[in-house]
Amino acid sequence: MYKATIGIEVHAQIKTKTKMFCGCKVEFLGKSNTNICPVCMGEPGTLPRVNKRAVELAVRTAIALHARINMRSIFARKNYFYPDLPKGYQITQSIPLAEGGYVEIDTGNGKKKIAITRLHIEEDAGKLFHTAEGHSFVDFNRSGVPLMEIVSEPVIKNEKEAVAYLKRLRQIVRYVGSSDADMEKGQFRCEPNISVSKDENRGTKTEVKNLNSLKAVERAIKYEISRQIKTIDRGEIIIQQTMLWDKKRQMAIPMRKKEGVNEYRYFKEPDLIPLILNDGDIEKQRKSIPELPGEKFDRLIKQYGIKKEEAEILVEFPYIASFFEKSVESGCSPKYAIGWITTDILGELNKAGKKFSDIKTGPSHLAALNKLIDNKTINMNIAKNVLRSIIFTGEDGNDYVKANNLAQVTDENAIENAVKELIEENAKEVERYKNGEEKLFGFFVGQVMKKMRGKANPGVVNKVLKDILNRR
Amino acid sequence: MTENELLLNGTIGQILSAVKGGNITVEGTVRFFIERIKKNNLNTFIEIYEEEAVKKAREADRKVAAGDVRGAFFGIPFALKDNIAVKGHKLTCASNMLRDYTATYNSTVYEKIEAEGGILIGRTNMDEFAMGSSTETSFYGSTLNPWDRNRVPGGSSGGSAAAVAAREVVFALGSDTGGSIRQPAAFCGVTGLKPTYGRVSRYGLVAFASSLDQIGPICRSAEDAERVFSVINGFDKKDTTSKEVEKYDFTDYSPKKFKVAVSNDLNDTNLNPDIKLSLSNLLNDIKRDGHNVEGVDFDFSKYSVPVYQILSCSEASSNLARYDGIRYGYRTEKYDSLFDMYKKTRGEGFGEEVKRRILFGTYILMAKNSALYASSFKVARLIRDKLKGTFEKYDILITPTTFNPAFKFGEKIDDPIQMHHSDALTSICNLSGNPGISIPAGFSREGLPIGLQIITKRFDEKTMFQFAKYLQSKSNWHRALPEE
Amino acid sequence: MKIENEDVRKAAEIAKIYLNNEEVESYKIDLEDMTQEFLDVLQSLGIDLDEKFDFTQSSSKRTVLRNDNPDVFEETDKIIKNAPSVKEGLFTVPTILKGEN
Ligand SMILES: [Zn+2]
Repeated sequence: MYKATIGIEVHAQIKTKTKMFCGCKVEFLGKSNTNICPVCMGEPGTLPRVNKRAVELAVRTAIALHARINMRSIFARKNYFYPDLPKGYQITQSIPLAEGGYVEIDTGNGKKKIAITRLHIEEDAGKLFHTAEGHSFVDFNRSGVPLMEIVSEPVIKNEKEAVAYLKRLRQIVRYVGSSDADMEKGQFRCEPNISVSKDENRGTKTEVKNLNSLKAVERAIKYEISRQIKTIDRGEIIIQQTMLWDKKRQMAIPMRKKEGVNEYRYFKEPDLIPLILNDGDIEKQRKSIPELPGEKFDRLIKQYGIKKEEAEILVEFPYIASFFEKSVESGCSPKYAIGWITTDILGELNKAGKKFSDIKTGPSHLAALNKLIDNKTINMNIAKNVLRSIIFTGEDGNDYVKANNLAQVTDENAIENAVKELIEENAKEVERYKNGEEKLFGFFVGQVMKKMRGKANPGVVNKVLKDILNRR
Repeated sequence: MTENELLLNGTIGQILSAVKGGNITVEGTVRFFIERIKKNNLNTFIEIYEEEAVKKAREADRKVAAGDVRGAFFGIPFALKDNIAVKGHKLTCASNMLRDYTATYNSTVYEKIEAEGGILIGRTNMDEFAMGSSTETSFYGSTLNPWDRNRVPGGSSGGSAAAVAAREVVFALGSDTGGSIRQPAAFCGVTGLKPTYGRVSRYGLVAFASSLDQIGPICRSAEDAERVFSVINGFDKKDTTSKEVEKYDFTDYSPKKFKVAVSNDLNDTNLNPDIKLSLSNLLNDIKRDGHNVEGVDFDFSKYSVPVYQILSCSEASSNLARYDGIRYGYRTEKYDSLFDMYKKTRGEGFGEEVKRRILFGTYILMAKNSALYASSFKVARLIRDKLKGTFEKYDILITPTTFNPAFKFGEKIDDPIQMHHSDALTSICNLSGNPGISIPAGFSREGLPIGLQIITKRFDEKTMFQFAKYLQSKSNWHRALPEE
Repeated sequence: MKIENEDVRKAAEIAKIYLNNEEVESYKIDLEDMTQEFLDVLQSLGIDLDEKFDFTQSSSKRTVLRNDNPDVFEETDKIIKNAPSVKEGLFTVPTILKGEN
């Protein structure tokens, strides 16, 4: 039986206004090579200057990962040639900003701590465009943008755990405000390394790049595990290499081998002195850390009795969680609120192709609907219809019910009339029911509700229907 | 003093007073020096900014007329080594690689001198990327030593030192990674300072070895050097390796008794006998003045160069990786792939010595040689500790600046190891971070200048200048001029 | 210390410098000499080869950091003007296939 072992390197873009070592803006709206200066272009004689905010946000992230922060970390150079790397080296860290720590995930059968090896600060490279005409082009707007590299221990067992880990990690950096972590924009780049083995030793690992969504991560890991197993079963060996995920073909392709050799010649960056932090710096960041996703997940379940999957949605989208909690605060039952939000509101948004911020109903609308159910003015189905109708108008639920005459009918006479009508129209079915075909009862209920445009109190319909059928 | 005498041998202070007093014009001063550059033809300058300098001089003269004279270097012509950035001007490091590169920003030192009214008259020749001790590796050809045109001016700041010695400029800046200011200063008979590491901003100095490089003045006298140093020193937020210490200010000389240590190198059999004699005489003189002079067991010149080579070349191999023919600089004509372009560009763009050092540094930084690299720091630490110990007992450490006076062209250029050893006595300060100054201390029997190196505690340039000014108050070597 | 031609070639490959065979031979001797000189220094000072030693010239107690305020460099055209090959504001290099890095 094969066991897979996965470690993941994540590069998260730190959310700063300016680059890591110069005052150029971090934005990718305008023309190529406009957010550049002598420093991030590696012009001769220029020197780097460390961005304070980037350090603060990295510290904050490290705290949220329960990592041990190094009070003295060291910048280092990773030397290699590539057109998008202006200085011929990347400034990274040899003694990282933080080591250790973990991210706790829910595996579906219990919790698991995914251990973190290290978190360090480094700078991004520029961007290369490839054309077929014999030239490639370089844009340095991204050159020098601050990144946090977060490396996990190889303790992840499968693609599900990998996705759970990345999801939680992404939530963490978003919660603490250190990164927007938009994968499509390349702000959260994941590079899993994967190996399989039949025993305790780790097999030869391959690394997969070019994963632009969690779906891609999941598929790539699944693909790579099965490819490795098949390879070994054929009696072949796994080659240690870097693969590129090909989204179109849904497969990982080995990258062309690097010309020359990998020899990064790391050494301490002589243009920067050690990064020295003090307790005050760290305390300041600790204070600014909000409730973290893991804590929130546990609390939501405990406090509101909602399901794990529901809590997961709320944790992923803090603004929805806030909407939910405010609805409950306004008097809506958690059960109704979570149902309405996750099925009706999100369903409607999905259908309309709109965003959560487009909805006009507020938490108080949900509370009001809840009240209408409680005082038996409407039933759940009507409530859902009302909610769907007022999502984008923000109309008051009560008014809508009145205006559309949707209040529930509890008047037994009206319901009796409808039932009698039904019996006349469906003599055959009634006959069959009488002969023991009891499942037809549901059909009768539905028909009555239909006649009453859904407004009949289901309890009364049941009672009246039973009485009349039994009397016949 | 005639105007000629003033311009040839006056101090910055004296020339400044003459300008302020309207006794000489700035334009006349600038033209005087530019004419000398052209007439001497020592290949000291890679480029003279004649038009721009004259224009600035005229503006300055108008200010004099208007009584609006401000700045410590008002109207004083100066030069920069061609590895210090001035926006809009070429910055070539005397390399084919950068012959077409125009700086897009200003170095901090240039901005400071500019702000004091100094007038830049050009960029001076140097060894390619400051790698060399003779200015022979320059893409633009060697600079001649004004004392003997068959000899090298030293290097790498050979152009700056020769220009000051030949009185083609009032002062110049150089850079010193292993002795590149002090060694040419000694060879050319001028005063050259390598400040404490971290004293002067490196922003705008093209890096050779970042943790050893310092910019410093090359001047006619210690007094002038102190004037320049007091302007260019100070913490710079653009260079976070510059140190947050109190800014240095010029201090008048006030006599005191110094405790002077003399290094063992004075007894080294490799030391040129004329240098030995000159320095011995000088030391006796100092003793006679009542200073405490003692020989100390300090002879790191035996060890400094190999260590210096390891550290400087390692950093250089990384610092010079940016020259890849993409964003600026030379690019080869024909290539069939990216990597082919890199290799040809760098193979053709760099000279032989630069390639030697990049290769050595690359080799040292390779994973399998990491112990070599790491161990070199141990030796550097040892030197630093030894110097620290010395300065617990003494104010000053004296060594010769070089073992020999200026050598002839071609004498060492084919023997890189010999050439590297020109830095034996000076690179000690770069490895330890201490300041060092070379001042003229006599002449050899062939009439070549001899340099004396004064080393003090880190950040104690004050004592250094006090001692140097004391020596120059009782001697005239720094005023001697080469024959024209 | 003995250095092989292959070491020099490897260093030249990493440093991206074209060398002909003659240069390889001549640099090899220099590299050997420079390395040997250093080993001799270690020996005469009684210092062991050590992989771990770390030396920082800076004894600073605090790091000066830059505030995250934009400082826009206006003359980007001057930067681009220095490039040997540019097309529509982009620096051009020989084709690199995606995945070759
Ligand atoms: Zn920039």
